Amino acid sequence: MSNGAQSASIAPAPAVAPSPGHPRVALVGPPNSGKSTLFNGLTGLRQKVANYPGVTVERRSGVVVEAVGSVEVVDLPGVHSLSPRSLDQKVTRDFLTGRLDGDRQPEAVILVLDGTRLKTHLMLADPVLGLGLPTLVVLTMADELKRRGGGVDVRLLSAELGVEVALVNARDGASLEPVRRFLRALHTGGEEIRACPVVSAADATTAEHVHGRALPVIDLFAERRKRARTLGRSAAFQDPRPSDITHRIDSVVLHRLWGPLVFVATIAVVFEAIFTAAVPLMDGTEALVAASGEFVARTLPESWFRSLLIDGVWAGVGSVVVFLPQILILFAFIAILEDSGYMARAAVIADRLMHRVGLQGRSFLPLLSAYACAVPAVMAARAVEDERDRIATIFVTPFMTCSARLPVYALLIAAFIPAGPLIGPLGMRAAVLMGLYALGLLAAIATAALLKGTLLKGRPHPFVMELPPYRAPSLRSIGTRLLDRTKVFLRRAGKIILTVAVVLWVLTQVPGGPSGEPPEIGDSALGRMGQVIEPAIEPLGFDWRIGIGLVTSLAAREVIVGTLGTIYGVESEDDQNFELQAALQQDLDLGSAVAMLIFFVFALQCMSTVAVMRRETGGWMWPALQFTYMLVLAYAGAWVANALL
Amino acid sequence: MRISLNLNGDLSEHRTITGAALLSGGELGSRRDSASKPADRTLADVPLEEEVVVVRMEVAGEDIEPLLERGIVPGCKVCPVKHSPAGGPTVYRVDGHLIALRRETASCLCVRSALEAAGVLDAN
Repeated sequence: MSNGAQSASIAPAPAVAPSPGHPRVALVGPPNSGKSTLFNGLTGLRQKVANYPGVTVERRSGVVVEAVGSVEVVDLPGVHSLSPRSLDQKVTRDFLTGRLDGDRQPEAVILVLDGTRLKTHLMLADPVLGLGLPTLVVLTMADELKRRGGGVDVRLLSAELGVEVALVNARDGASLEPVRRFLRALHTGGEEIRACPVVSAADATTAEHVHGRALPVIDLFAERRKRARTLGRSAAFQDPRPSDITHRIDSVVLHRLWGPLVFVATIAVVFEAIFTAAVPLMDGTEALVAASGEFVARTLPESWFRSLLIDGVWAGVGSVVVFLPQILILFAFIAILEDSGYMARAAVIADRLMHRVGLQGRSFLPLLSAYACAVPAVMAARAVEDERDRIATIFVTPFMTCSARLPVYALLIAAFIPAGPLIGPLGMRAAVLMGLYALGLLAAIATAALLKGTLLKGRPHPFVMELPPYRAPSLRSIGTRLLDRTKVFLRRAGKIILTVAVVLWVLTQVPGGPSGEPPEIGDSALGRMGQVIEPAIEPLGFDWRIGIGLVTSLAAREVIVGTLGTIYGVESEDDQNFELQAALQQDLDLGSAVAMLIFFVFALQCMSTVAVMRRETGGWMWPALQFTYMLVLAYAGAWVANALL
Repeated sequence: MRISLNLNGDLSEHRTITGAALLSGGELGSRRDSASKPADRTLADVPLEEEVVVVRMEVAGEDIEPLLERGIVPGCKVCPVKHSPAGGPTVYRVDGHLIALRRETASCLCVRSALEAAGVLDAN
């Protein structure tokens, strides 16, 4: 990264930023314009991801350190216009106009446009320049523009727009020098900043108000497009040839026959990676958690605090951290698929199927992610622009069989389903496992159709999917995103699991015996809870022990395995699962075991999901409805299974 | 300005074209005749690789904005390049980049062949 060659002069008093802290620059641009790559290139690892207050839109900001001073760069959600149709767009517009709670208006704007798509992207120039803030227009993909035989005269465009224009490769640090110069000018009050808008602001006004009145939206955009083309012509913009590579790949990927095959193969590879390749990593993480727990246990003296730390915190948080490798692998795949351009094609292929059940192509990604974990899946549903579709997608994600169900399925299947073959090479146990996955998927589909036919009914919005040209994903951008996701996942899941783990631990410790020793599990507050709910779960074939397990599994499904281990007093470390199986066989018969499996297919036993749902839907209504709906379904399903078998 | 108004007026459109043809005399008039047999087609009816110009958009309310802001506006050239498998969305080239639309959306966009539209533009 080249930096600061021309920054020898000592900065005078900041010309533009009288406000406290670093001057602030907003990155604005359409989706897929290379905005995030530019952001990563400028800020490196000095990034922070948070949420805008009260909304689910992520606020990505970073600090660029230059010799003359630092600048805060905020990467706004990608938009095509400043009309506040979606939440993302509203945040972007409000941030730029200084109307966002808790965020002041930025001192300057960097407008990022894809240099190969100037004819369309320049439509954003007028609304953004019309804000009247000092602006730098950055045209990205310089290399691709050139390679595909296109071109643009930056000086002419700059003269036409009345602001500085830079043509860059966002991945090439050296080519970002004009951007850095602009950032430095915020401190030095340099030419780049002072030369700015006014003229173009006037232009923007004429574009939106012809003959003194606002244009209907269709004319407004027709006007903007005309102006974008005029701008392009004046700047000698030469359209690049359509990307050959893209055309060739698409003829396979969207092919009548090969298309769906590639699609299925991609899903298979992702699944294989999540469920097979991730196993050693997860085992390693588990061993690490166990070893560190043992170390702490050995170091600390026997006390209630040690018990809290080991049985509460370590066991609880550990059970979530174990899923981190799996989630990271999933996110790595998602990042590769998105950055390469395939995800848009997958959405197109999936659209037909998803549309039939009331969802749309963009719902495919969250639903796929949900096979690893519903928490990132619910967050991934942000890609679904249509609000009703997004809620429906979020609502059904917990039906997809997440990996937290696996330990429970594995335990019960091993204990109650014979290992023999069913048909050909397909074993009985494998068939049951597949059946459970299918049951979850069916429930998701039926629920989506039900929702879109009732609560979320409405005229379907058009599905407009842009297919960006294929590009090699950059390691750096993938790495940055993985780091982001890790932080967000650990922070979000960690907080909840930690709280629940501590609460559960306390419930197993009270009321203490006369000399302060913890009670037998059956006499503890938690045990009594189990006995209180026993009448309710008796029709399912469960006794109070399973009841306690179900209560604790409300925190996270896999917790039930540990809880049952504790309740049945399985002490020996070796063959723990085996003894637990034997204990369960005493308490459950085939009917109630299947009932329990079915209960786990349907029930929303995951506080992290509920919490992330509340966040993403902006209230308790949807998570409450979802929790109740899934519980009713789980209870009914389990009851039927127990009655029939 | 005139072009876009002429092309995106709703019911006045045919009148506009007729007027243009009358004003500009015989040669253009005959060109219009030869091309005017089929009434307005929708984008959903256009075969692959035929370039057309959008003349009217019958999309309700704010649903139209996602199309507009991606460059699908009256007067823009669109060319279907690929049908996706099993009747899914079709991929169109708009201003050199690719956009997929469902059939039901494409059928809300009235189009005219690029040649014919060019004639109208010349007339204006």
